[in-house]
Amino acid sequence: MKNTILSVIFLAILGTTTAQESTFESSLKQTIVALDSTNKLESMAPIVDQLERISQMESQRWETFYYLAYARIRYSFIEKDGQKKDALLDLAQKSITEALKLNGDKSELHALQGFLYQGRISVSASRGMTYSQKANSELAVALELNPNNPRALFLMGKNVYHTPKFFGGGAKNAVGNFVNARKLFEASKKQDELSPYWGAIPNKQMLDICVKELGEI
Amino acid sequence: MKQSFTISKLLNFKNFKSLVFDDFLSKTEKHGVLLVTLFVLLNSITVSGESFICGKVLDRKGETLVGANVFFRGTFKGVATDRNGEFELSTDLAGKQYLVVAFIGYTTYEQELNLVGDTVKTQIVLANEAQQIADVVIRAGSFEASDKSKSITLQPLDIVTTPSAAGDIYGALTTLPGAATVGEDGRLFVRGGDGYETKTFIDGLLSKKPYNSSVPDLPSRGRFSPFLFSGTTFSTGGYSAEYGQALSSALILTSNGFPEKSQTELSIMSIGAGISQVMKGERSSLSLGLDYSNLGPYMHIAEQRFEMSKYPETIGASLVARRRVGTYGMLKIYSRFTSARLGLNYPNYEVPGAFSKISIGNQNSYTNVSFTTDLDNSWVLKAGVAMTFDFNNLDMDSYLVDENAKNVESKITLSKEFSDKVNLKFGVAENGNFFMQHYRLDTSSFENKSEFNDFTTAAFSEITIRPLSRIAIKGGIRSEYSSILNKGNIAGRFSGGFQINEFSQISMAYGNFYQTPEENLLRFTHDLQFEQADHYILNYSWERDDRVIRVETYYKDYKRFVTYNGDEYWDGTSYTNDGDGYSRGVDLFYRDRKTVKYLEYWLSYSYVDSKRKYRDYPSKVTPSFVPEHTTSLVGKYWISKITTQVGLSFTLASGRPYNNPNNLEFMDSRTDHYSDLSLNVSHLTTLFGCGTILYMSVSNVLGRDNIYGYRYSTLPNGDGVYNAFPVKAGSKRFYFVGLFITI
Repeated sequence: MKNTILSVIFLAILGTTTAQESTFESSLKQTIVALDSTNKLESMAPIVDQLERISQMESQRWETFYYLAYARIRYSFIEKDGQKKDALLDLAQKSITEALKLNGDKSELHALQGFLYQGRISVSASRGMTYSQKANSELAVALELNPNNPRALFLMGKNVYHTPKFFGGGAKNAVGNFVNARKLFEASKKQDELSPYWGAIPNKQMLDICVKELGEI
Repeated sequence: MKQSFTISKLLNFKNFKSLVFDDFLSKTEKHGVLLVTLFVLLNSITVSGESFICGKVLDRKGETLVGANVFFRGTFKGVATDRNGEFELSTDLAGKQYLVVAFIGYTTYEQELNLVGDTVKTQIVLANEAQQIADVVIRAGSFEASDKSKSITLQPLDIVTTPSAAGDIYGALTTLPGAATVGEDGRLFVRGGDGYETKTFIDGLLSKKPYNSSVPDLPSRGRFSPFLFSGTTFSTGGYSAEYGQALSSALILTSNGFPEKSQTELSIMSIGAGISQVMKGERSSLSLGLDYSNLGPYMHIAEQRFEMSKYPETIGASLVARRRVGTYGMLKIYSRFTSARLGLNYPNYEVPGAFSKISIGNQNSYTNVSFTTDLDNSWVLKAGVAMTFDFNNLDMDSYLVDENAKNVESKITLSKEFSDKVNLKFGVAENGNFFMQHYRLDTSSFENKSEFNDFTTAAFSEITIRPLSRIAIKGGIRSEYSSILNKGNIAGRFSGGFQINEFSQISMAYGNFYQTPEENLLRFTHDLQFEQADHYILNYSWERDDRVIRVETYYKDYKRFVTYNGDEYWDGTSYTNDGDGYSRGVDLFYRDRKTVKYLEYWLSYSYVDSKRKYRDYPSKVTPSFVPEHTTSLVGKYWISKITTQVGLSFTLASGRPYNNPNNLEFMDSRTDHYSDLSLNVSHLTTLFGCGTILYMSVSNVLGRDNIYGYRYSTLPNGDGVYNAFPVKAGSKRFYFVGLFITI
């Protein structure tokens, strides 16, 4: 009995201290891990909430805005309601602008901008014409700034994949992007814990889809 | 498994500690002996500064908000509201702290709390962002098209891809209710109003000559490319006190902001070519463009009704510059110069089989400079100058007419949002209008020169109040003084919107609108008054999930139209403000972007009943530019497999009145109905790795022989009959092919 009480008190104290001492980095890192490991609609809101809190605390770090935007874009893809999708992307757009102001990694931010435009298409297919071009040019800029950005390559692959074969799109033309992106994902080492590293898993999924469609590479 | 643990741990913001306490409490209940220990423990924690905050988050309608993000400013810790909109949050923070409540679609709310280690109960009401942006916009009389607006009716791209428009802004707007198709003219005729009653404003400033110069029967087009603008507000009446000098309608265009990137745009068309280069830096950008069009090759192939003595040819140059100033400020410069020429042999109505040689040359330049900045105390300052220089030379057989029009408008406005409930805007504008017309006959010494200047000074102020979230009221006053008329006017503008429910609202508008008589009247006398129109508008709109319904009814009361004796039009003493008239009608609009995937379409219908006595009309009649019924259907279908959009527009309008001098009654004849089916295809592709749009369009696919009206010889023939000449389009169909490449 005494042990129980003691352990409860101990845990309570531990809870307090960890909460207070949890630094910005570890808190952000934890949230990124959470984001990385889910694709469920109900998990998204709390993750975005947490990132929102982090970004208002660490408003001088571009990474917080990067992840806040990234999480909202991911959220928008899962969300069903078109108006809410747009609202999420509007907020994500603000965060990207903020991250650019803070001199964040330009290649990553342009890639994210491309991802955002792809999200706009998911609201209404009638936007395909405008936004696939916009996404394309953002991703081109991202690759120009850093040809070894695996995320830009992966997203470019997605753009190509959804372009009809006849016009240089489809699995056959896209697969190269995914293959190269995979190599880059494998080769890339985390420079520091907070720089973007997502994308290897969806890239593999796209690669698998292409391989399935083409029979083999 | 591990993942879900991480998430739940992370996301269980109900605070690790309180969970432990719940656990602890349930245990202590079982073991009453430990109550003392608990008391001590609780007490010690309270002393250490722990505060509890619990509360409820609601929207303005009193409905609970589930999933709002609640936290203290400057901390990571937070909770989401539960299914009852309630939250509980504990904190070690003490003293003055800010509780932040954020929820998507709502304005973030901050509440100041003084934490002294006790329990605080609070109730928080969030304001709906969408209500502020969209729902409180008063919709009476206004069609908005922009990238930003939530209540989008038309996007800029929609204008470009409307088949019947052939890339012309004004052409696209005629597919909206309230605008009439007047095929021989090309200007906007709104709700029974004449073409001159509509004015175009760019970034708040007048564009004096928004249409290119043309000759009778060949419709004019807008001078400005739809791609220049990110926002279009087409007001069919009841517009803001910020704008004046337009009896019927204001077209308010907002030019693009900062470009997204540097690029080269190349266009190769069946009627010409153009190139523009966008250069973008960190804080400034410059775009230069050059375009040339010549309808010669096209008109050579496609049969034309008139024999062209000089194929229409235009050379244009444009400059767009942007510079960011401070955090939000922006300096915008737009300048365009065009030089155009065309000539044709027009049938001579007096001598059957003979032709008049008509040719026209036009040089036009338009420069618009505007500057917007935030002042320290949250006032927004906007200042700008727009200049139009237009030189027209018309050569009609032996008549030569030179017309020089110069117009300079400068304007300053200040606006401030005092809260989300009160918004104030006021400003002053000065317009200088300089007109010179030289009319001469090269076979004799006859000539006539008229020259005059008019300075119009205007001041306006407008306040928008939202006493409740579902009600908006706007009141404005505008006063103008014209130096040439030596008269002033005071106009009141009122409008209001009431939101019935989430999807529908009612708006209404009333206003006085004044306009100085046109130059072709002022040529003969300055002893005139402002023409006036009063608008009464009632609007119902419903909007849900990409479907929009609008119903609008209006009454327009015209006063003091200028009238004169048509037989002796040069006699200035016959000019008076004795005319009047009215327009009343109903406009319907339905747009659907939801029912069929990849298909969007809009359907509009206008009914108008309008009569007026003006100019040289001997009696009060329905003028020739008013069709009683007009219906348009515009549909666009995106075929994603081949990245191609196909578009269709169909317009059907009842016949318009014309005056047959062989009949005794004035304007008692009607043309046959008008109909047009236009198609287009825009195909998105890449060419040499560059994003490319291939665009093709054809008008009047069905080849209907539309007759816009009739012109008559001024003298009867031998049988005592005036000869009739139908007014028709310059060619049966118009084909267009263009390749637009972005490098």
